[in-house]
Amino acid sequence: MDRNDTPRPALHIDTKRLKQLQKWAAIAPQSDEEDRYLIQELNNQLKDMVIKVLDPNLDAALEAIEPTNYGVDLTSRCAPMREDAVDPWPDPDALLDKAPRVQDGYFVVPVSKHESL
Amino acid sequence: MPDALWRYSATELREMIQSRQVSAVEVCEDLINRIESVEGRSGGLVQQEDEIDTRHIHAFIHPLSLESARKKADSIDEMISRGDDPGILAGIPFAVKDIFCVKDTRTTAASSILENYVSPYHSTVVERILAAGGILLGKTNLDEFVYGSSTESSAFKPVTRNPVDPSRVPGGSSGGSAAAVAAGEAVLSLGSDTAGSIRQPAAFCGVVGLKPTYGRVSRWGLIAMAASLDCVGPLTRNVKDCGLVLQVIAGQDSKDWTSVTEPVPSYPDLLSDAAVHHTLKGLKIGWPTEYFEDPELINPDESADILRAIERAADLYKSLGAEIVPVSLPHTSYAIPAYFVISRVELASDLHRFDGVKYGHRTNQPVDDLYEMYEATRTEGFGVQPKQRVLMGMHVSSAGYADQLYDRALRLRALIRLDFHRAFEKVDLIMAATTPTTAFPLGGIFGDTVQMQNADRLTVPANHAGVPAISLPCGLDSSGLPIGLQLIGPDFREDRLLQVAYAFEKENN
Repeated sequence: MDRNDTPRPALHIDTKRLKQLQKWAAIAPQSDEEDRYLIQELNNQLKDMVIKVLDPNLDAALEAIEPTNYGVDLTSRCAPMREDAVDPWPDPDALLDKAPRVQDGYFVVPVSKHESL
Repeated sequence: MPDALWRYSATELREMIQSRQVSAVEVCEDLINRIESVEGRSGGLVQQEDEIDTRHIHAFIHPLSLESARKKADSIDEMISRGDDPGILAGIPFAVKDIFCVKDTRTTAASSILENYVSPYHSTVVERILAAGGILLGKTNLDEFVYGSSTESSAFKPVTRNPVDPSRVPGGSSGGSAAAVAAGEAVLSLGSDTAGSIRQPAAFCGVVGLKPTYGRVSRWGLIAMAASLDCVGPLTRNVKDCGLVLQVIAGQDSKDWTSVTEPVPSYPDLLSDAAVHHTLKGLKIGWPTEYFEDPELINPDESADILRAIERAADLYKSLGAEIVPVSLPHTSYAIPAYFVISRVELASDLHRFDGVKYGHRTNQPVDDLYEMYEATRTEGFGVQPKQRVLMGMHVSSAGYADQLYDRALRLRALIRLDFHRAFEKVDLIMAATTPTTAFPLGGIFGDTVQMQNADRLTVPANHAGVPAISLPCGLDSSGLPIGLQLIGPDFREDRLLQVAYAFEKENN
């Protein structure tokens, strides 16, 4: 892992970036006041907290260690994964009953507009 | 019949019920009476707070399960009268944070996007407590999708108040669970802990809270916040009760691959006075200098009462034969920054499932296509705290950011884990404060997302490392607010944590 040549990511969110994130997250802007609050808090988090993850003093120690998905090493402690086989839920209607709209055993959603295939 | 059964611990009530000194129905009715006298209005989606609400606890989310509780209590008494084994928690009224699925019960995660969601199945931990004879009273309030440290971000109001001082927060995100136990509205409760959400409210409300080792307890049926950090654990009146609940909920579950096959000791049997006395003799307890001296973690003026209480606890342990050994956990101040990145990336992914298709709220607005339906549904359904966390998750996991921020945060987690590993080569467990402050006033820091997250700075390292940690009451500050002593142990040594916690509780009674 050679990170010395990799530029540090920009740690600032402006209105344009917020709109991009909202689009990705499928969360619409609601009011100028709420968007101002979001920009303020997200930037406070970046400059006061997230930036510390980029502390250059950590570089050597981070280079020398592998990332972990869990704190505890689970590999030797978990049961073997079950067979990859269909295990149908005993009452599918009970699950479909939770959906806002269903028809003939399917979830009903609005049309999805494909920009490309 | 003894008065005020709500004051008794699960361990005491268990013996009283099984010896037929009291009935499960009498215990249940006493708890229901207690709820009626202190709860006030339980949380609802559109409730505005009135002046009278400021004098009540509001630990629960409406509706409570009181009729089914009465029926279950009746059936427990029948089992006992027949001579059947009713289970080790028979007749014990409990509450669960509304982040756990309970079959045929509304499960909201304190979010309006799940306002009307009724779970078709039980979470494993709830199923196990019910099978052991526990009596479910209701679901407790929390921060929306557990995103907070004060329970103020719940969509369900009135806000939960701290039973010790109702002008203060109960902590969070398991604030309702801690408040219910502290107020005598439940004998015990379940919470979840991703950055300290069991231990911090336990400390603020003056009860015991345990975050087990990652993998010790099944997460099946827990609505995920950050799946690599989430842990399920008990909040109880005392340490023995904590061991009793852990005994019931711990152990491998085929529905959760991350639940481990490690054997489960009989925790209650390990909490005899003789066993605890034996454990304390020659025990090496680590004193992590960063937790007491690093200015990024602790302000000696702000935390003076807390630091004195922890020092008194160390003196008590020394008097019982333990040795206090300084240790270093040098990356502790990076734990919150790493948590900011890892948790946001995971939760942004986890919250994609709430899209108005399979369950939960769907917008009633006219929409032209699927994306518009997603967007309108999520915008209406999520509160501002989930929104800001999802947006941060999208930001730090996007191209150009993920390689540096997310990858470095995962490596930082490994470094924090290594810190603990090295410390546990020298000591048997570690002691520290649970929180840098006692319970803060309602509204004191709500909305300041950095300060709120920072409230977890002494608890989140154990989540990164996956190790078990317990918080237990260790005195009061000058305002009469509870202080939490935190004990942190090596993987799967909940037995040792419980023993050492029990020794303190017994001597400090």
